[in-house]
Amino acid sequence: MNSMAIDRRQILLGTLSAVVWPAALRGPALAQSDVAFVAAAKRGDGYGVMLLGRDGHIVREVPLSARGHDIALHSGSGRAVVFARRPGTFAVAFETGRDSPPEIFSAIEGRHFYGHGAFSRDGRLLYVSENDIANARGVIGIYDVDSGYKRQGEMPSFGVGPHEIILLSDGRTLAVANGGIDTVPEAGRENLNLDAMQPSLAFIDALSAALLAKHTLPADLAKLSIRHIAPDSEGRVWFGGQWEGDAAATPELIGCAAPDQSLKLITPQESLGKGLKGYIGSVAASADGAIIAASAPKAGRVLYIESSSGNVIGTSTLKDGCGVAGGSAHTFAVTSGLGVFRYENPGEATISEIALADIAFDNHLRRLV
Amino acid sequence: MKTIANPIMRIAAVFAVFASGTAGAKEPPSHFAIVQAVLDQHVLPRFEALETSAAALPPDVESLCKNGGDGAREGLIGHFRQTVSDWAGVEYLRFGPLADGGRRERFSFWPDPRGVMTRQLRQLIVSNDLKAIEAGAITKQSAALQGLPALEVLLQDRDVPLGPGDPAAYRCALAKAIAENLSGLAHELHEAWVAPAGWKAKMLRPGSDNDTYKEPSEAAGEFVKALLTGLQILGDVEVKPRIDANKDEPASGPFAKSGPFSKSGLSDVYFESGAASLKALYDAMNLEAFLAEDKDWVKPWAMGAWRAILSSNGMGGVASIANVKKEDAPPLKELHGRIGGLRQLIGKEMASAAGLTLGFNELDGD
Repeated sequence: MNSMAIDRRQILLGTLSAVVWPAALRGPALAQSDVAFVAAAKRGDGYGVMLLGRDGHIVREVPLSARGHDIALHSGSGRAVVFARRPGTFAVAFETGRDSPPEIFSAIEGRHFYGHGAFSRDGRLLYVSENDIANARGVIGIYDVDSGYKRQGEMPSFGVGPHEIILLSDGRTLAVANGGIDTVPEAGRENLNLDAMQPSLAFIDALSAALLAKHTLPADLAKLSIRHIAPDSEGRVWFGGQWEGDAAATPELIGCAAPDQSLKLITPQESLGKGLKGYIGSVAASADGAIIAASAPKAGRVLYIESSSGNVIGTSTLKDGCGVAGGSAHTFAVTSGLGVFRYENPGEATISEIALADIAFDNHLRRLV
Repeated sequence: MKTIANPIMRIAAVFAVFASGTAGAKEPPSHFAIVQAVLDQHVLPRFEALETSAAALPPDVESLCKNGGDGAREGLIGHFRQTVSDWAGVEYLRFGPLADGGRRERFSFWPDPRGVMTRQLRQLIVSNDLKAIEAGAITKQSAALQGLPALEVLLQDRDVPLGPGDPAAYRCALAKAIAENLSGLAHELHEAWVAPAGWKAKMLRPGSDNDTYKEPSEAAGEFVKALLTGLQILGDVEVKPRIDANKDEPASGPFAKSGPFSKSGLSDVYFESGAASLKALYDAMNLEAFLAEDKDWVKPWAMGAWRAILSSNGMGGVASIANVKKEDAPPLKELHGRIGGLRQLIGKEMASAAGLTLGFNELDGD
């Protein structure tokens, strides 16, 4: 890694001013194997996206002017887009395979981002979870990649506060975690409707914008905000929640559903929700979809669940551990807000671990396929 | 410990600390000692004060609605002001008793940029729903209708002012129901802290059998989170919307005008009381005592930031305390920067030095 050379090429992003990237400054294409993971992070007093090698070291950095959250990846093209953290309004597109000029785009007037998005299978469209601020209505913004991420339109998310969205294996169904929490930029990160939350998991046909299915929780679980999701090998979507109710009444935070299967929470022998401090910060599946990882950063724990049975088959501890990314052989990469990058298996101790100085990884870690 | 109920006196006391140097002892306290000090010196007196001020609201409403008169009105306005001030001193302690039962939203549904409370209150009054004002029934209503902002609207309504007579009869019954709810909530909050198996005991007895705090550091860390949360609210929710991005002057947008309790002209009281309470929490935690010698620059920077914050009324003006000059109050943009910088210093330098490092992702879920 030649970090010094990279640093000289860095420019501050996140503003909407045009960025000129002279051809002479463009870096060479990176070998595809150079970058294995991407994650938003805080570095020192600044923010950026860290492109990490297989061993977790930083290969390259895309600086941001404010905190980023999740990153949408298109595996075929190597395109990636990082989104501002809720309720931010900027997004930065970049290439994972080459050090090329990033493209910056922003939410339109009256909308803000929720920090997540997903590419269409062919990589030509980008779907972004957004808030229709005036009407407290979740929408999925649709952006045309080839036209510089020009917004083509939007479709309803069929709920309030859409958070993570993923494209399912059929290539046209979007799963949308409608967290149910209303926010507006003027009120910062204040949650405005905790006594009227109605979280849901919606399945939407990306081509027609039709609602295929929408699953809600019973009234006593209405304060379980469904936020992070990942698909398993059997067509189900696993979710992790954020409990906004009484701590003593914290339910299980992890569950699954499918278009034709209603929401179901895991049923461990001993209740886990309260011990996880009411919050799942990220959910990821192993490459074969057989194992689901769910991180609980407030509790410093990562849970591993066998998707076929719903049984918890392993737990690891890592302070402020939140980013999780599945791989082959049921090995997961985990990152923390304290700069740790670790490989681990559900049933084993840590396989390898490094700690990056002055780095704080944000919630999500994405693995390039 | 004797409570300093008057927010102005509290702020004056804070400045007295500046005058005599910071409160930090040379020997850093243990995490357990931090928790004990914060509970005894900060948390419990403030919830006790809130219980006292809120308890005055129901009889005040009843007196005004029964007898009318400027004296009764002024009495209610005065106790309302005190309750708002006391509320600002605790509302950022968003864990435990305040988080349970949606008490925070029920006590004060703010921020409310969508105007939910005003809309629902208007609908309720128009409906003249008598069941909604039966004893205890207000607790079944939306949180927006249960707390201080709803009472404020009724109290400040000049078209149909609270008082004797038919026109205000429903409003009076509603105001009384809200006042009783506030008094009840404040009592619940205080009890939830001081009961034998309450939150105070939970924080002072960490261990393997404690379902929330396994170590003293976790309980102490809760107060670090509260302090950082409070500063975030102060900066991003109270000050930032008032900044005109182009002029560094108070903004004039609709949200800027709807600051906390602006109908009563109490936005400055709310800011000043909240700021003074945060400073008191900071002092009670004594995090500066953990700083290494090579971090000596942190203390004067923090002191300067606190001085700037406490000199401001949060609205571009000067705080209503003695011995503050106009030039001591920074412009809002600078104030916002100072609050953010202080938050960074506490989170990055002081909390880390105290062994209370908070993770990047655990502070504020997303």
